[in-house]
This record gives sequence, structure tokens and C-alpha cells, in this order.
Amino acid sequence: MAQVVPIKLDTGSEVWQTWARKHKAEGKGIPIVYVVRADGETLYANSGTLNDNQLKILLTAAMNSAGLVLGENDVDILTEVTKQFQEFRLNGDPKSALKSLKPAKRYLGKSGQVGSYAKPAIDLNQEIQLLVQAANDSIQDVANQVEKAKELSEEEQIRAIQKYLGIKDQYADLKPSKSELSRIYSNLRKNEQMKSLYDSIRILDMAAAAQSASQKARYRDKLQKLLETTPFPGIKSRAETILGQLQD
Amino acid sequence: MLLIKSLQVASPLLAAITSLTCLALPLAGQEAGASQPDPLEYVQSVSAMTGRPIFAVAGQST
Repeated sequence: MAQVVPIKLDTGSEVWQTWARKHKAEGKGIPIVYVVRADGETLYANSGTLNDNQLKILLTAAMNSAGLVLGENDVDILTEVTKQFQEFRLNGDPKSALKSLKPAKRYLGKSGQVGSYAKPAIDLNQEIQLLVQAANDSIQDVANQVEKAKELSEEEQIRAIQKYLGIKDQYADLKPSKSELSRIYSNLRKNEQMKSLYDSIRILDMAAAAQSASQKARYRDKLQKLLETTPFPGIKSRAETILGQLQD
Repeated sequence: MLLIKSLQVASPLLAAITSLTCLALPLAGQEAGASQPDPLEYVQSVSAMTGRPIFAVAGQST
């Protein structure tokens, strides 16, 4: 019973008039029993008495439609995560925003949203939805760019691949984006030149990110090999630049 | 005005559930200097914050 918040309403009161306008009940007469979800949605509003068994059935059904109930600790976690998530999102850092979801991971369902109608959950869901929308727009842009680049110069193809890799890096942890990113990747690799450019760019990116001495040595070798074999001037010039940095 | 303590309800279980409100409501007014909260506002805010649905019974005061 602690799963519901109970209240009695006096049908002679003004407050009840407002309530009744918002939550239309079936039937006439009193008592009227209401079950209202945390977001204000009316789940049940009927006049007439309920016996204990009917009441148990009603409350069980209501709880099945009510979503996740939050405790004080859950509220604190979701509120803090929402605050951080929003900050990163507004700063144009979706990757960090998605990482900031980690403490709230256990609340997120398959849809990537919190299955609760509590305000802290709704707030976080709205934030996630805004990020999903931004991801969809960016991913659609890069999909178009990759498609167009197939018919364009090597340099345009390199730009499209780098854009794709940048978007993938930012949104890799966003579940709804994964299939669309995979689709772009498959599409890109259907073009032989872009496939070859993609593999070269991946080597360049990893070489540029090399930290330890052994990693740097390994990527120096890979870049040397790339310089000897690549037919693409754009890849060659980039490889030379990174190789110079690795030798410093 | 909301009536918290003296509605007639037919089911003992219903009465037990609704009586919880009587226990919960005074807590909202315990903060120093806080005015007596509107019971419905209080219940709605608890529901909104926790996700617990509101179970309301409307009837006439006795």
C-alpha cells in the first residue's frame, strides 16, 4: 500500500471540483475511486463501492501501469545524473553526457529511457530524448555526406569518413544510434576506394593517439608501410605529418 | 476544503489505505515556519517526485 499515495477528497470542496474536471469519472454517485499516475494521467475513475478483492485487483492493475516507483536515493541519483547530463549536452559534448548516465544505468530500460512517471525520471528521459534527436540529425547528415562523397574527390571522401568517425565516437554509447551508424559503415565499405581510405584513416587516427613508446614504435612501422603502399596523396601527406610527430 | 479524517468508506481496506494520508500529511508542515500545506498539492508533489500513483476516494463529509 506504500506504493500509492492515498487521499480523501470532499465532493463539497472547490478543490474537488477542479480535480473532477481534470479526472472525469465513469458513473454517478459516491464514493468515487480514482487512481492517477504520477504524471497526472487518469488510470481509473469510477463511482461505486469496491470490495476488498476488487480493490486489490484495481491496485495491482494500477501498479502494473504506474511504472517504476522511486525511493529517496533513486530521486537523488536521477536528479544528479540529469544535471550533469544536461550540462554536457548543452556544452556540445554528447560523449561525456552519455558517460554521465553510468550511475543511472540500472534504471534505463531497453528503450534507453527510465520506465517511471516520476518527475526526476521524466526530466532525465526528456534530456536523453533531446540527445537522441540531436544524434539522429547528425547521423542523418553524415549518412548523406557519405553517400554523396562516393561520387566526389578523394579529399571529400576523407572528410566524410572523418565526419563519420567523429559522430560514431560521440554517439557510440547511444543505443538507438547504433544500427544507423552500422548502416552507414556498411554503405561506406561498399565503395572500394572509401573502404580503403577508411582503413587508412583508422591507422592514422590510432597512430595519432599512440601514447607509449612501444605504441609509437608500432605505429611508426605501420605508417611507413602505409606511405609505401597508399595510392592516395591525401593519406600520404597526413601519414607524413603524424610520422613526424611520432619521431619527435 | 479537503476532508481528511471523516469520510465514510465502504471497504475496511479502503479505509486503511486512505487513513495513511492522515499520517503522512502532518509531516509536510513540520518544517520551521512552514505553513500548513495544501493536502492535495502535497499528495501530488509526493506522487510526482516518487512515481507512486495517487489513490483518491471522493465522498461527502459526514
